[in-house]
Amino acid sequence: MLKGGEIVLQCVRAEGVDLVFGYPGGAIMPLYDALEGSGVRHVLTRHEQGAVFAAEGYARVTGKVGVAIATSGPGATNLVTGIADAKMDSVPLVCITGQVRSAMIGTDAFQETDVFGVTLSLTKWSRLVRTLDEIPEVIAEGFHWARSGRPGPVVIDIPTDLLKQKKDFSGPVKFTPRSRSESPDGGFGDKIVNLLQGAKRPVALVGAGAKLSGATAQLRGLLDDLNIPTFATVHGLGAVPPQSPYYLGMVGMHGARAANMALHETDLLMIFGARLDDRVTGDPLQFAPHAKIVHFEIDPAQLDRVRPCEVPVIGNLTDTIPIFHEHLRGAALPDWSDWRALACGDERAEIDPHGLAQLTVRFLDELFSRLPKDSVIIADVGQHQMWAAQRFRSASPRGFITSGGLGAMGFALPAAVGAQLAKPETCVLCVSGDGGFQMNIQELATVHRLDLPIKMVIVDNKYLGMVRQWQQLFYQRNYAETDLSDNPDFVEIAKAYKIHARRLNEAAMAEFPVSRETGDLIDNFLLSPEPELLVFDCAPEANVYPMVPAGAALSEMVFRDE
Amino acid sequence: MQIFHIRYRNKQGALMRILNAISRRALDLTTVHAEADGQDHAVTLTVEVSPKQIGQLCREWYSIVDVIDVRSSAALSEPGDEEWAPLPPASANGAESARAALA
Repeated sequence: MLKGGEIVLQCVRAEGVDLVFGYPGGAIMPLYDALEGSGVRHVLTRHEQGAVFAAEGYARVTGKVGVAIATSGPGATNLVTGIADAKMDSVPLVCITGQVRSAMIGTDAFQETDVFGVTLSLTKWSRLVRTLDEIPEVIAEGFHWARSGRPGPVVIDIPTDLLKQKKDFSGPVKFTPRSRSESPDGGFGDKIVNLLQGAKRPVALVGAGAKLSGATAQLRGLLDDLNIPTFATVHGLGAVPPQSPYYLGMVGMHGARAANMALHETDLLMIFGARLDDRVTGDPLQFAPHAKIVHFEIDPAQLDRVRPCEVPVIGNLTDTIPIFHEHLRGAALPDWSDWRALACGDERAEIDPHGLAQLTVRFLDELFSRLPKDSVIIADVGQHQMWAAQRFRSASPRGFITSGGLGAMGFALPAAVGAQLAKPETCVLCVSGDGGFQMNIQELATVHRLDLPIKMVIVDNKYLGMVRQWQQLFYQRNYAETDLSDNPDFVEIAKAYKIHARRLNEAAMAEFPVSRETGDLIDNFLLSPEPELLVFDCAPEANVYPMVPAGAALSEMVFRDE
Repeated sequence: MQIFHIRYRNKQGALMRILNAISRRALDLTTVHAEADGQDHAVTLTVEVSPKQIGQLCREWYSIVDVIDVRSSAALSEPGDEEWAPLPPASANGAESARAALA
């Protein structure tokens, strides 16, 4: 006879999970009571949002399902932002929440919330468990949906009385879904080749799907053969080696000039696993206005969202790319060398940032260039995120992690906790702004307790910088409630958490190349075996450029302050 | 006015997820009729939508785990006169839904 809590953990363990993140409370206590000896390691964060972001960080760097645990009521509602984030960015996530006793459900009992209802529109799948008998099947099905197809978040809500009840347990079960016919028709290969043969200015857009599906190697092989101008969304960074001669960088609102121009001019857009967020497309009516579209995508719901596509290719990219590549072999393709020379040429090279952002960008360049190979950069949300994405130069497919679709400030620090636990030998660099860092600053306690050697950078401009930038550009410099000039002393805060911290003023970056002293400071920061915080004081009114104003076409980039 | 006919497995929250696609867009839902349909369930919805929203809704419904099939037709005066058109996966069925998405 096993208790419900023990059964849950055995089933979770059977899904390959050995690490979960959570925060205990009343209704979930029976599950915590069963943790010892379960084979599942639990990491205590200091807030449920920290737990769910840590689970996301773990999932995003490994591709495995991340698991977060919370109690009923506020514990469960504190997970909501992370659940929404996982939905937007296709992160495999299972959240297990305690619920009030079955008999009390619907009575507004203490710490009761309808977490099933609250998260209904944010989850890929969810269940409120009604009997002890169904726990094994619910957990097996939940993990299946979290990781299958387009990955996403799952919520499993379990009343506390079920976690306490005992029953004979015959072991975890496997879930077999009823299939729905979504296999691509075999004719897409010839159709795409035909389109390519008629194209004068083809390009490739790479999104997160290329990495989530594990198709990076197949995609790289295909792109090497196609040799057409290629760019990536923020979640596609690292899928294509930046050194590739046809690679133009990130596309979108703060994308590379050459990438945005090529996307605007193309007559054949080949999309690999991207859902065309509005931060990627700019004005949808002016998005790739001359292009026919070929869309490789696992989720049919993402097709035709912005523009109808001529050839949809629905399926896992690990299956569909090789099929197309096979069709491509031996096909006579036009000579695109003139187009490639134009799109990838020096005339369209990135404009080095001028003005106030120059030293911050130089700092990030210096930092990134000194990172060990295959490091993981985790960016929070804001200006620093875009600067970091613009300067990311790694070919590591899971080397750049950020909250892209939801844009949830406070993501980076707890996500770095999850990433570092997943990859203890890897250098994990957490880049935050001063606003976002304070949203989950309590996770410094988790970093300290576990002695995680995370390298934390705060790009401190004493503003909510991205909002301030928009206020400057579009609201006549009315800096309403974005001033953070009374920020706490982050170095002293880190010390209170027993974490070593230091400060670097941007003036240190004025010298180029940087002085030996500054270089040593950065090296010591990165190579320390302990957690480290580096506060980089940056110009308060530095802006991110290029920038496509909201609602404008990608070709209408702004490069500097007017 | 558009009529949608959605077949789904009657699991927890499946119908709510279907209706949520309507409510999140603040659309006027004129009628809802749900009932058992063989082994599964079916819901028929009458909704005031734009042509672009037809494609959006169908694709969103089709991405729900427990949804089996989505069909749509323009509402006609006589009940039963509808000519059902299967929609998702959107582009797999050609130009019709593509035009809707562009509208």
